[in-house]
Amino acid sequence: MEESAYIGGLIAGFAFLIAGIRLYRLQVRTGEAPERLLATTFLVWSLSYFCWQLPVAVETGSLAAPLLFIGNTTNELGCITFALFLRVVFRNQERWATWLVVAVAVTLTTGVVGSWWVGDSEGLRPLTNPWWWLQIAGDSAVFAWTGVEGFIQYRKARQRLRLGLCEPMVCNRYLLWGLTGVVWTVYEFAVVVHEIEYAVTQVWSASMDFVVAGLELAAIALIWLVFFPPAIYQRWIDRAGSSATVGEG
Amino acid sequence: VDAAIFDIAAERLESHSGLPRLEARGTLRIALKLAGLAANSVTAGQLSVVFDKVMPGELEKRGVSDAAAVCSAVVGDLVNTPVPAEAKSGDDLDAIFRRLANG
Repeated sequence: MEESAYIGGLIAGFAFLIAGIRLYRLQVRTGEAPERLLATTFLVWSLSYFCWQLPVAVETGSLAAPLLFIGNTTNELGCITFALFLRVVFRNQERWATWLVVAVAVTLTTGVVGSWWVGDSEGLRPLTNPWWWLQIAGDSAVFAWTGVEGFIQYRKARQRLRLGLCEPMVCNRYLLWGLTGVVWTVYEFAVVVHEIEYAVTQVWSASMDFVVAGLELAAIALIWLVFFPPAIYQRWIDRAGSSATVGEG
Repeated sequence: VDAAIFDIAAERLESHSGLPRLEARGTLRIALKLAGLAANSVTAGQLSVVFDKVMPGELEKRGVSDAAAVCSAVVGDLVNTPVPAEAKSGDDLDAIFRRLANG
């Protein structure tokens, strides 16, 4: 892994850590499942990022392989809790969503165990490890689901916004959520290309490194706007939203 | 499962508009969909806005005379109807997304 992806991963790790802590504090106050699941996801993902970045940053010797294994495993664990979050928040009463979460959990767990079984516990050998593809399939399903739900809710929220039944910032949050899903899905595709290229050439491509880091940072920026929007951004969205409401602006 | 308030509103709409039961419920569902709402999570406050801004047009399309008066009558009934506890707050996704930004 080259410098761009390392820096991107490090920033992502810290961003998920801060967001996770803030959401954890929120769940302590409210005791509600959505913030609990999202806080867990973000904290687990931050651990995953740090485990991936540590062997790149410093000489970890024999600890490198276990760290990468923990990074791989916690990444998938985070995807499972994130799928649970999507089900609880967007599809609370839908049986198919429960089955989708079960399918994701089984796929990712099988992928991680299978990768470990064939000696690729870090999940870095796409050409020789068929289980690696299960992990990619499970991750991609969760990320695509994120995007689909975001855009479905954004369309409905725009209708409510016109009638004054939805706040502009909440409506915008659905759009950002949908875009995050799209960026994550494209990121997953870029990771596949990146890792296959590495498996073939044994060299981390600098250009793909840059693409992966860029997508990682774009997703972090979107997440940040969803949960911690700056005041100037809120004012901009509120102004735009008021003029979209029937009978106002 | 529809919210209890949906059933109450549909029954009042049927009564004031003269539409058959199924058509009244279907029209209310269409109006809710146009407003980006769902029958299983709608609240009394949201229904009032739907009857004010969306439903008159839908009733006119279906040949109901004096649609605005029908809608006012339904809203008046909803205001005076004690809403069952489970219908007062639905599964409010907006509230979750509002709350998550307060972390």
